[in-house]
Amino acid sequence: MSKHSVSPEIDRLISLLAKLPGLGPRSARRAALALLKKPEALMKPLALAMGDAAENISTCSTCGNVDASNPCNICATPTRDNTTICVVQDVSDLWAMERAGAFRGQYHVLGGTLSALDGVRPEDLNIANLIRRAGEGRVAEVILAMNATVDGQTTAHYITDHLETTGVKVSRLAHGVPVGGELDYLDDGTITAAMKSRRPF
Amino acid sequence: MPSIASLRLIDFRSYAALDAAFEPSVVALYGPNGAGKTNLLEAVSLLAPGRGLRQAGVGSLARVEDGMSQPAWGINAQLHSLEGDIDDPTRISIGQVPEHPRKRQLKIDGRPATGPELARRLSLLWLTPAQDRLFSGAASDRRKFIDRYALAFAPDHGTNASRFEKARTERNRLLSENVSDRLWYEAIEADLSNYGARVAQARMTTVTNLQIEVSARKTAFPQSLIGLDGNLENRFADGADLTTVAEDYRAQLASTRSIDLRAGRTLIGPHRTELHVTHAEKAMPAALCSTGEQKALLIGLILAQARAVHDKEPILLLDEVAAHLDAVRRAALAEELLDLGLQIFMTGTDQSLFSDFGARAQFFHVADGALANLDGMEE
Repeated sequence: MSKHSVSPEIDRLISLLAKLPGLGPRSARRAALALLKKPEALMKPLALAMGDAAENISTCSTCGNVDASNPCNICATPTRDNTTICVVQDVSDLWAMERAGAFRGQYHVLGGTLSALDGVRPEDLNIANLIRRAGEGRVAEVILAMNATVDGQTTAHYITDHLETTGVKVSRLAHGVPVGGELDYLDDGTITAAMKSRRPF
Repeated sequence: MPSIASLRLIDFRSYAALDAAFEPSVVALYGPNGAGKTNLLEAVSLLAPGRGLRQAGVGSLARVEDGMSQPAWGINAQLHSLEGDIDDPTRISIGQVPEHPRKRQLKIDGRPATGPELARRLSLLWLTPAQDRLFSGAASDRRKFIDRYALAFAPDHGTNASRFEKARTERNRLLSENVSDRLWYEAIEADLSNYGARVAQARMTTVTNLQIEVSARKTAFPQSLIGLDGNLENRFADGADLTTVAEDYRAQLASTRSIDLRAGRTLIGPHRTELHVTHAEKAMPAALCSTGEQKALLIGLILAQARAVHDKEPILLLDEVAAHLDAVRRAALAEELLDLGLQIFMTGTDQSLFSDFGARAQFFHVADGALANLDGMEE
């Protein structure tokens, strides 16, 4: 597509859309066209919603969640258990935990994992804040809910070492057979991990 | 194309952790031997496709601590964004992850990317002490030298060269195994002649452009006469066009097949081309010039190349260049480099080597895997 055949407004829209995760130049063009076809039903409401979110949503200074209030709704709910903190990599992981509804405590969002390739160092993550929260006395347990990737586990080890001084109990999510999963389809590492952390039935 | 605004190294070579911000002009790095100056230049050189200015394997780039290589390393560069109204500088990440110990990872703005995509963002030119023996060393090094320069004039030169090499390997295999299937040879030779002619043409274009730049500007650096001697290159020099050269090469390959069969390999083609550089004023082949003159000729060539591809805003990496020059040429080099208006990283053992730049360069003292800028502030 030559630069001359597309107006700069559309070009700019496409190049901004292409910066979104999961979208490349091709899907950004499709998304832009879909928006342009429905200016009233889709494009203007989307622009409004984006402006609204950009205006009102901020990062919770306690846990790192994103919400319209600070502290966020989860931190501010008095009925939630404030003696356990579940540490997650990103807000998407917090949402996944909340969708499952399996946890009623508080969260701590790191904002990523340690990664030499991506240039992420400990001071780039929300770790100092976590250690401060864990040392406040009221917290009894920190649950590390990191992804089971090398970077995720490296980060979990790093945090565990730093939490030692606080004396709180540190646990991590189990690794093993997924619910509804078949052994035949599992890789060797998962089977080994599942075998190691087997439990009395 | 943009320049490098900042660099973050993690467990790369001698650097455990480094953050540095650079101006889009001359960056002078000075410090004792072994301080890590070239490591920093190498980190920048890895932001172009390929193995960087040391031609190092991916496994040798991690920092070594207590005899153990770190399992992961990373180079992260933010580029100055010069175009567009949106302030969203490009980020390039190069490194290694523990999951894939032999694979170099490359990301642009956090997404996996390929070498050609990287080449579209950044263009790099470098001169290192390893090139000091370029004129007297192996002919293959001189071909590599001109092929690297050719990439700037013919973006698909790299692809054409590797396709040529693949076809040549195929043909050599048939020759060494005494295969006599004529149609098989013809199929391979069609590719070989097509890509071979393109390779030779790109080299000729490069040498022509380079010669124009060299001759157009009289500097303190000796002018060179640059020539290529190769079957196909000579045809282009005589004015033949791409189709003719390819057709003739194809016919030549067919007619020399029996000779090649006895030799067990392909004897004619751009893989045998020789790059000749002559000191113009002295009319002396570069290989016979003194070491200092050879270095000056090389500097003249890289300056000419930088001017020839100036619209691509290449970043120059000059490793230990000033040390070989007398005071007059050192001053002239400073003026030439400043005149280019490009981002240029230079190394030297002593700050005084860069005194000609005065306040017109950014200075860093390199020591113990850390950078300190001129007023002693830790970066």
